[in-house]
Amino acid sequence: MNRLLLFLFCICLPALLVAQKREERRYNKDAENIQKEIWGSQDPAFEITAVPDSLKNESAVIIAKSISLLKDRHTHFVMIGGISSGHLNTQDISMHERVKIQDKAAIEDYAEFSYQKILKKKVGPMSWNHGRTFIGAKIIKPDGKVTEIDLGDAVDLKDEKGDKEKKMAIPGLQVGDILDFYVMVEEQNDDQQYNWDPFILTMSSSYPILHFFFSAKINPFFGVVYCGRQIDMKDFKHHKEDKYNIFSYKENYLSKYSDDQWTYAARELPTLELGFLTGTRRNDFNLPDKGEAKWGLDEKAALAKVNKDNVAINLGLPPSMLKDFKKYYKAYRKHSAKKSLSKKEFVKLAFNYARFELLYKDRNVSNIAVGPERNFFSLDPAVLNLFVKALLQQESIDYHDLMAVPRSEGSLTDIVSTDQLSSGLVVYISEKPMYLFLKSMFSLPGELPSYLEGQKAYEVADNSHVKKVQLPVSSASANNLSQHLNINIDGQDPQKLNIQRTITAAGQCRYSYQLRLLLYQDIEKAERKRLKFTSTFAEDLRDNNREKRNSIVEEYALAFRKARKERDKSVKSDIETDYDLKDIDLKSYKILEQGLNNEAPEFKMQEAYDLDGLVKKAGNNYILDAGKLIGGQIELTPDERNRKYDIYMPYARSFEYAITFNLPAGYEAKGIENLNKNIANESGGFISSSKMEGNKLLISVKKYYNHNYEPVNNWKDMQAFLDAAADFSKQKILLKKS
Amino acid sequence: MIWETRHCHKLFLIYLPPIVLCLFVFQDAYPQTLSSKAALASAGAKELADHNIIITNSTDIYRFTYDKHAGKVVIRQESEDDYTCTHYRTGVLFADMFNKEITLDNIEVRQDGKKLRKLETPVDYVAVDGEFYSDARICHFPLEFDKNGSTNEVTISKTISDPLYFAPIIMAKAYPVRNKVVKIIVPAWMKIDLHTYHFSDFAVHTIHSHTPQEDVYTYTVKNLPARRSLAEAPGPTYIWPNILVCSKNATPEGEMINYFNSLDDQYKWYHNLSLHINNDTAVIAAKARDITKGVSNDWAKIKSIFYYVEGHIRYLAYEDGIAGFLPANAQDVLQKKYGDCKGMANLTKALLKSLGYDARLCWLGTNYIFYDYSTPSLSVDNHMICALKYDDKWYYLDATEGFMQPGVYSGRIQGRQVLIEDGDSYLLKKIPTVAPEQNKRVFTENLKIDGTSLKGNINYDYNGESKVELMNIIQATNKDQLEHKLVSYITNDNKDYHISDIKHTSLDQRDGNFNIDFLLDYTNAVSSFGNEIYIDVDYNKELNNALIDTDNRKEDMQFNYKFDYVTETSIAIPKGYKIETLPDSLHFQSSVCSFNISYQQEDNRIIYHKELKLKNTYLKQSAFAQWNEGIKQLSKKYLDQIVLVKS
Repeated sequence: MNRLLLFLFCICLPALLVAQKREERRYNKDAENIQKEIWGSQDPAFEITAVPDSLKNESAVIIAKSISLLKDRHTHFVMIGGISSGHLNTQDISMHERVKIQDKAAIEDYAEFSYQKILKKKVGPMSWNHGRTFIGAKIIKPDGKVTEIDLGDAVDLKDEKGDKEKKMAIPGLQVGDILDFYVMVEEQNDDQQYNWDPFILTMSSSYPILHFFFSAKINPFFGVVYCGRQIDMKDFKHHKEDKYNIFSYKENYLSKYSDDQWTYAARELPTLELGFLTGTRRNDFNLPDKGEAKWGLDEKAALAKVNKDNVAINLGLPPSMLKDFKKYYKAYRKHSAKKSLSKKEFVKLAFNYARFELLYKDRNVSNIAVGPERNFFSLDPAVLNLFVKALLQQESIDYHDLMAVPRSEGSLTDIVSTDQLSSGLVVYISEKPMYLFLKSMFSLPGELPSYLEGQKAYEVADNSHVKKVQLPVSSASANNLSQHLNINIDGQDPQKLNIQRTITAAGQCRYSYQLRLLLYQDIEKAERKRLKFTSTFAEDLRDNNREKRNSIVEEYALAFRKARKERDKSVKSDIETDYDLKDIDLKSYKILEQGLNNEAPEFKMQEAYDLDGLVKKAGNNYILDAGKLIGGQIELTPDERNRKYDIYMPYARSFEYAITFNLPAGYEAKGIENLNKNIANESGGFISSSKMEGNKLLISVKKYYNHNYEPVNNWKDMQAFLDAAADFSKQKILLKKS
Repeated sequence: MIWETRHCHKLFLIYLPPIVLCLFVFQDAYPQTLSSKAALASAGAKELADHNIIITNSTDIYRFTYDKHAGKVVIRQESEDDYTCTHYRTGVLFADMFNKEITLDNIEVRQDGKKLRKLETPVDYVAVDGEFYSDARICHFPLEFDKNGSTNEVTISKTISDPLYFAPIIMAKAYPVRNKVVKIIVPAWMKIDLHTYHFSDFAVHTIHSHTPQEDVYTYTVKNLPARRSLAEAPGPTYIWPNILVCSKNATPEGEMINYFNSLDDQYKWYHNLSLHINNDTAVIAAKARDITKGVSNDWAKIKSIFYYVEGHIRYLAYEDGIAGFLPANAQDVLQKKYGDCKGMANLTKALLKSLGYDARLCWLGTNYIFYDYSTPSLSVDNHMICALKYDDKWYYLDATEGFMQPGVYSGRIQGRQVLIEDGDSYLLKKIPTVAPEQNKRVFTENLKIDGTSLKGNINYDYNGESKVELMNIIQATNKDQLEHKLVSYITNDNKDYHISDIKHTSLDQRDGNFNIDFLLDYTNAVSSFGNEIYIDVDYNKELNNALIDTDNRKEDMQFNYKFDYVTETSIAIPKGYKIETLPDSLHFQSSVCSFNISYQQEDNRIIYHKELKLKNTYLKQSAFAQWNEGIKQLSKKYLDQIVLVKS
């Protein structure tokens, strides 16, 4: 070390130590104040020690829980060259909970926690992201003795300058104790780093809550949008204090949440939302201005979103992308010997071109991934949408912007920020509206994403006229999965089945097959052909990778080969999952249709495999587990039968099976009438029938869910056909030696 | 159960492969002999051809060095791994671990021959599942491979702060290795013993060169397959070629520094540490009296103490520097209501001792470790329990299991050597080897046919580890969901399997077996076609289709415990029916398991008897085919039906 460095080091080291000590002192002082504030002034609910007898059998009972939010903003000075002023935003969220521990499972839930005590990250030349967490805990024993937890026992997971993470085990915690604890997270940062996301609070927990409190205090710099659902609105109070917007909410009992199948927690559970707005032109879009607060967003918010997107379209898309398209479009017409395309043809072409350019094309990749993971590739939905828009503009196709809230999140009245809207386009060029939502590698023009089906949406024409529209719902018959099975008893081993199966998946049902089983190499090639590109994948690669052109094509070839080999395993494991069997013998398989052709979008594959395990030996006869040929069915538990939430399914759908079972010579089938079921109601159905035709046993099965949503009152109807399906799956037929 | 949840010494973290992200699942018995690992050893060449990223050369050099400044011997480790992309460009995550005793001094990466100047090597806490805290840290960064043929040479320098902390050298890495070299350089003043394992299986070549200044041991092996994270995997010292370095003493300058010349020294080291334990005998004695209040019988007192620790102290793994070896004070564990194995062992001992019983601390290596105390080293053990001498017999009390009883031993400690404190001396004993019968689980079913239903009384009886397994599930269940979970566990969620009138042993009862009794109405249980009734007699069908995927798995397996599943079913033959077909018996025997099934008629009843036994929890790869043969026969037998016909 040279002298100068040594000198500097000697000076800096003590200064560094002093600064660290100062930081620690400040933390301790703030911690003390926060503790006084949280444990000092509180609602009498936080003094309660008794739990009602009716809740004695719960694992834990949250006696009181309070959550508060403070969003604030200060001016501060920074030094860049000289002194200039900037803004510092703060967000403090605190959670105070008092919980009675009633069994060991609850101890496991509460006995340990880790927290980021301090995180000070440099994010720009003079920009810091600063976060601190304060915690406190005390145990109240059944005899009333209170022990405050000494945080000095916490261990360091990280102890670096500006990055301190701790972990703590609560000592002495036992069944019967009350744990009273708080966590307060404080963040400070500049405008670029600040968390502008809406604050969404789902209040229920996996334990019942006796008293719940929420409060928020928001600096007048922000306009606030607020809303709530599954709550008593009159208890969600708003007023102003020193120009700050103050919100509060109080609830006297919140039942615990059970995680049932087909439930959207955000819709079913009591939830509060606050959105924060800044920026100009807020008045134009009915958005709250500085210091204002407003319940929910109205249709003008849709204009704000379109406006924002249009700014991005101009800024964001490289002009070369549109030039490339023009060149391509010219060549396309030449190759297809068409002077011009109809509007409908053009829209489809534009959509497919956008899908290919943005999602299929591998350009300068540093990481070749061509297995199933490649099929999940996507980009920012806004970019995808913008590109489709820009292409439509090329041919002056009139489109309308369309935006809705995903079904899992609620409806148009349940949002506080335009970022919660999922957007796409609609064009009116044929008898039916044509939806254009480019969301994934397998999106098709004309298809709505299932998560928007049936939702109310805002439709914006000419960037200025908004109307509310109802999005359609796809039918059970459109989303169909059908299987044709041709089954023979193995010549050598009568307990083995030789099966040939054809699977056809249409509508929304095709996605899961496409994602898992299509190979990037195959779909890229097919799509390139459909779009009439003249270049090959290899040629494009070479053009885009001049410096390593020879290597990359070879590398892709190796990666393709590997992905194809891996897919064999996926097909085999799919069949094993279908029948809940292991070690099936996959003889062959072939994918007949990828389901990407716009005119007949069906995924179709053929398989041949041998199954052991569905034929039982009974003396000289055999028993076939015929019901299992349609794969596993849902068996509802007693808990699930007592459902309290509405039923939200991904989409309406139907499953069909046409099974031909060829009886071996010298055997007859007994008990085929057990395979006949017929339950059909408003919600759906399970219908199956069987008959003999010569030596062929023909079984036909249809199971369908009519809607993507059912009110909980219809759960009985659903149980009826789900039970019928479960019954069917247990049916056997006797193959009797005649 | 994963190994991290029950071990206490920290050295084993270093066993984790450089690219970590693995969970090791382990259990049970120490195999007497290990088969040749032909299948695994020969997998290397194929992996080297198939894997996209391979290590062409991997070299670890360990040099014993005298650190004059600190006045102690340290080991400088220089490791270089040359990664090569053999197929297509990609990026992988590199990670390496270290801790308080093994420091990471330097990392360098040369990408395609060029040194990376601004290499960011963030260090993070490693959250190992089930462990509360350890001082292990992970240093990680991405390695980019630009194209086929790209290379990354990673060079790491580490210092092991004391020869005692020299962890076993596992030769395999997270990627297949073409050439692996381990070099250990031992100056003449350093005395060590080297023990090598599984070398002949993998054809590891050894060269020893000697000069008056130093001895150099060079081990080379070619075509090593990658270490993978697999379910039911034994510890790495069972599978991979590895070297255990036992440091005896050093005389770098004048005075000799002693390490572990023998087990005596190792014990002394532990014993000296244990002298730092400062148990408050008054507090402990008062608590022991309180726990055993009203209990007069000695054995009952011992059990109440052990069950108290099992039931009231949360197991919490804690490993931090020397604290990774030092038990917490008994009164602290008692007050905090949590502790690691050392703390729980010390509390059990202190409570028992205060009542006048002969209780001792003891150390042992669970079956996760291949070694025993014949090679004295901190790497041979990873667990502490309490030994009790009562009525001239030794009992080994491991409260971390949660529901064990004195004299009942878990798969991971049974048959293992145990080092028991004996003042300045020690006792070396072996924990008894248990038979599968210790863990017997018996289902007794007394049924009759009613239409197409089976009705009757059923009794489930759980002993030993089958009880521990069930009770641990119960403990983790919220009490409001307990009855539902129990029903769902028994019925397998089959809506036709209706159970009622459930009676069971108290859920807090740690002593004896656990018993559940219920009435069954199993609708649609039998198939009736014309004059015939077909009965699928076995509802639970344990191990049905439990085949091992021999195409993909070359590594040995280790099961949790030796099970013994018994089902005794008696079905009354309905009036007017007689037996048409009773399936043949199944008697399958192998060195690892036995499957026995028989069908008999006794008066007007059908008696179905099944017993599935796992005799040895360690399943060698060479025995996979035999296991699969047994499973195939068993699964086929499960398809056999009993046929009754109208007489």
